[in-house]
Amino acid sequence: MDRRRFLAGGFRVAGAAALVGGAAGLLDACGSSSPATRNTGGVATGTPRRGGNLRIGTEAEVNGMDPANSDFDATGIMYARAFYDPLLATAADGSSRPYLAESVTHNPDYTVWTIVARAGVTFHDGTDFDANAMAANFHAHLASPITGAALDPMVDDVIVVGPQAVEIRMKSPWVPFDSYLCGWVGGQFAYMASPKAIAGGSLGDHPVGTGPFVFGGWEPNQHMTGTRNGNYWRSGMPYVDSVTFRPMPDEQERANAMLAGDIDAMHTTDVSHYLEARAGRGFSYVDNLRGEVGEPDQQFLMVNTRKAPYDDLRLRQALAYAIDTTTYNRFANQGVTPVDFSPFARGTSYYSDNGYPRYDLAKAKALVADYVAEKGGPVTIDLGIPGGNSVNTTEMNAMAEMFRRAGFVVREQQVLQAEYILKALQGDYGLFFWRQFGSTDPDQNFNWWSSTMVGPEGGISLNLSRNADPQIDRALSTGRSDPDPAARTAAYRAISERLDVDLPFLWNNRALWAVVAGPNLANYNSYRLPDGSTGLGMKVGVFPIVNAWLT
Amino acid sequence: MMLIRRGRGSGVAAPSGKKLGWSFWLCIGWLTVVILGAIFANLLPLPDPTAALGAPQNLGPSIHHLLGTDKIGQDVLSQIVFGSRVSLAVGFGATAIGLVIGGGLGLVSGFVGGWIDAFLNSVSLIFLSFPGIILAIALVTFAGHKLGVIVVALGIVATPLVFRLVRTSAQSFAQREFVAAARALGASGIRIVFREILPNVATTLVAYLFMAVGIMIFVEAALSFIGVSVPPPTPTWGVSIDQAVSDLQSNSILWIWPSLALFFTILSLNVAGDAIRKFFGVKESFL
Amino acid sequence: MKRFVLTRLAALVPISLIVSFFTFLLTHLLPGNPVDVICGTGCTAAGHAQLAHQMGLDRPILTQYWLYLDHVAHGNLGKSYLDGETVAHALGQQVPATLELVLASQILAVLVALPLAIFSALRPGARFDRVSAQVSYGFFSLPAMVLGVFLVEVFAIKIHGFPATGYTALTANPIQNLHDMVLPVITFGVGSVAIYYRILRSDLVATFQEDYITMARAKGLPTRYIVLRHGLRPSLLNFVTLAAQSIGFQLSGAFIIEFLFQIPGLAYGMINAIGSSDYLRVQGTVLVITISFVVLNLAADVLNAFLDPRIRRQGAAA
Repeated sequence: MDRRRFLAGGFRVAGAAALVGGAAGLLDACGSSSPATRNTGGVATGTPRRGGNLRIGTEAEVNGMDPANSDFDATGIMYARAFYDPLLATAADGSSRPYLAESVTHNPDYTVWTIVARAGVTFHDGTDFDANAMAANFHAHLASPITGAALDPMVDDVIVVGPQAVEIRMKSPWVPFDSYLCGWVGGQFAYMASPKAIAGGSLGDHPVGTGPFVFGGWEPNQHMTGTRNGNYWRSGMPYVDSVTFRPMPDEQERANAMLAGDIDAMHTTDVSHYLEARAGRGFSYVDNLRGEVGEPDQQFLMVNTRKAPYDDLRLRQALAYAIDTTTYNRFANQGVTPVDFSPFARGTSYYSDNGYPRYDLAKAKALVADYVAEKGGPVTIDLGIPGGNSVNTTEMNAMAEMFRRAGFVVREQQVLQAEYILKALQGDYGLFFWRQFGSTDPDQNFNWWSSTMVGPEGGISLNLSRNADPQIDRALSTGRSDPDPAARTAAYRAISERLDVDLPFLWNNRALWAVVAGPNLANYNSYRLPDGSTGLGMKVGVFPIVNAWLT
Repeated sequence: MMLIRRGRGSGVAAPSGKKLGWSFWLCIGWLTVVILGAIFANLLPLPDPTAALGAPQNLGPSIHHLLGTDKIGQDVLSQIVFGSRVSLAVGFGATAIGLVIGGGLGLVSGFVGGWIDAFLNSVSLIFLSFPGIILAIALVTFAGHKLGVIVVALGIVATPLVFRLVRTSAQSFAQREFVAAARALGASGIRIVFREILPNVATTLVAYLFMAVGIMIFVEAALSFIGVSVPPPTPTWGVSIDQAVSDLQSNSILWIWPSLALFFTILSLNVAGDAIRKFFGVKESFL
Repeated sequence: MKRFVLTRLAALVPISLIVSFFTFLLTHLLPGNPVDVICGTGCTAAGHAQLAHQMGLDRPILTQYWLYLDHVAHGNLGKSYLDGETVAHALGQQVPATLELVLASQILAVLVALPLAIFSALRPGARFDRVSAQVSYGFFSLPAMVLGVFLVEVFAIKIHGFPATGYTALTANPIQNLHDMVLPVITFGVGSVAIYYRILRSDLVATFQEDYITMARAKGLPTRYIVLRHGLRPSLLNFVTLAAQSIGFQLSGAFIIEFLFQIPGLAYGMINAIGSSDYLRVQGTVLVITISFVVLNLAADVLNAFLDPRIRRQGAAA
């Protein structure tokens, strides 16, 4: 798995820290109002203490805990890692290491993957974790209308080849398949559920896995709880007696809850609330501002490239030219988040800049004028954000103002969160504020960028921006099937360059992801893997709790 | 509004010797300032409330920005002055809908009685038992975040309330001697309603209408606080409070201004309404 | 009397039917579809159709309504399309939260309003009367989000006295529950003080001018005795009606408090359900609020009938 070490190494060599460094320093400066704040990085060295209830505030509620029938976003992954275990885990160097699986191997052309189950592990309901259990999980996913889309195009069959081993037979080579088995967003089939519970169809509101916590209860929009799994296969873990997840979609409520001591930890993507929350006495924090393993989440305006007037490339260019990212970030993100103008972090191996249009108001105005001369004006655009969160409104107002200055008429709209994703899927939008693309391998974004996932007019389209580009398709296919790291790198650089031309995404900034912890929580970003290596800590707001303890 | 004027004009004389008091005139003064500000906002020497990114963020009060600027450099005073437009439009608009539909039907129901009254009363009960504000949220969510939709949605909430108030009031007047006298003199039903009952009902109504406007302004502010009102960048008091609250850490006094504007406006409506109620000697009962 | 109650109870059936039909129509005719929401980001067109069929949403709307009624008649309010939780279970969680919030805040409001009203009514027009009238208006005009934010900032964040958000069920941990509810209840109750104060005061002023009170005073009975024994009784009539109506309105008016403090009550749940087109949940909640409203008003009428013999006779005659 040298490929990913190469990737992680590339990241560090290019020194994203050098580019981000100034910004992160600024953040430290403005956040230093409370001298009591510790930047421990969430890693403690003392002796673990047992007991206590760990309370975590999350940014959203899940719609269920069935890996094959629910939709796991960052919050969902966070919950899933409490009750289930993924087959593999991402190490700090970006490589995939065994977790619940004893081993995951592949044939030379990556068409057959063999997964061997760890021996002696049982699910919370006493069922054995073995080859049959793994097969039941994969079959459930292949049959699912909800999660099947990820596996269906690639997986031909899943066959039990021994008491502890299954073979996943692919239709075509799938080189970075192992990165999916680490269970990040898009890889929820990595989480193994009890076959008995799968057959019972009750996983949605009662997860049964092998994980460090046994499901305790769920009151939607209130809390989900788990109690320590006394029989956990990772002996001695977890350290806390129980965990309570509390969904708090409003950034302000979550920061308040943190400062009032209602919760022990929270994750956030909002700079001001991050700074506000972490100023608490004795609080510690972890963030991704100094760089990140794999690809970070990006904040951008997603453009519906099939809808008028956005289907006109000139207008997309005008929009891109109109965004003054420096000013925008100063107002919206206190100037601390860098802009990559690419789905890949600047300086990493996949990053390539083929001249994404940088702020140039004159060019923006000229392009709008050109468009109006041909098709008439004024040009009205729709700009949308998820409603119910005041943070978003100011960001939208700032963005809208920049488009107005370029000559656009801007209609701003707030859409309820659930409806938001829906409108994006159905293509019922013009420009949407969006956060996406955080991954441990760029192939995890295959569905979002491939033209095969562009749906019919008015129908559901997984390629949300509906951008169809044969060059991107070819590159995605190379990235998925070519084992040569150099070829993959070239492919993703090509995608980065094509996105500069097609402009389905108008980049705002690299997303902040941070975790703030109260004075009682220790070691919440330390992830020891079964093989003794160090696991990847916080990424896209998901942080390991199995090694954490309360002091 | 026309109904109110008629009511006063037709000589329901105020009991002599009563005065409205200085607090009433203070409140009317504030409301006048707010209403004039809303109407003539464009003529005032204020920066464009939606002009983001123009001025530095989180400025303190200065001669250019009397109440300073917010997180994205918008002028706070201007946001409040222009924000009053939505509050007033919803407050008066929704109440007017309630008044015209609920008041009209209530008058008919209370005066005519019989099966029409029974029917209208049942309908109003059904509407009342419907969770009104939630219905309004549903309507705005689905029919669009437009000022008109919000006014209508809250107007629907107000209608059964005004209906019941007017109906009860009309019923009590319909049994009074002067109505019986008019009837005996051969006056038509419509004439009796407009000449005898309406003016009397109107005095009762006027006091409560002030309160109703206050309640509607509050509900709109609450709706825009949770993001279910007119879309940005149109400033509203609820949104201003919400944004200022979420930015307490970098600008700790910003939230005071829109909060005060909202508070004083609702307070003025309540105090003024109560003063009018006392002035006309209307008995207190629950709206 | 019995007939009076029975007639009113019988009226519940048509009211519930009409309300449920309109809710059903509203949720189904308006844009938004639970299938899309559940299908989420990994859905294909075939998966979409399959889900719609599984959920019975591809049938004619009247058929769906009939099936819904049939289920409700058998005590089955259905399951949330979104998270599979039964609507009955969700309501079982939400109703106590909202009820506690509303009842506790109304009790608090009455506890503040009653003594104020008595002292005001004893000497109407005096300084105390005028000041408390103005103060009660001040409370009434204080928007909940302003007061709530202020209380959270001071009592939760500055002084770690109370939690900023959240809710613990009364049955799960009564102490924690009370602790959680302090700030929301104060925020909610303050606005209602004025409503009770004004009605009680004006009622009491009227009562205190009655002959029998004057007589009692002339007999030299202590003021406290007169107030409690003779003054309050007649005012109860208005008060009960008022409280029932007020509580009914507050069931949905609680939304801003539930939103501010993240209390998983009826209104909060409802807003979530509306946002995700969770039809059955919307319908179930509207049904519950409607029925509680009607029952509350009925309870108030019955209570009034007991308190006031005139209504009792009227009711019996009807």
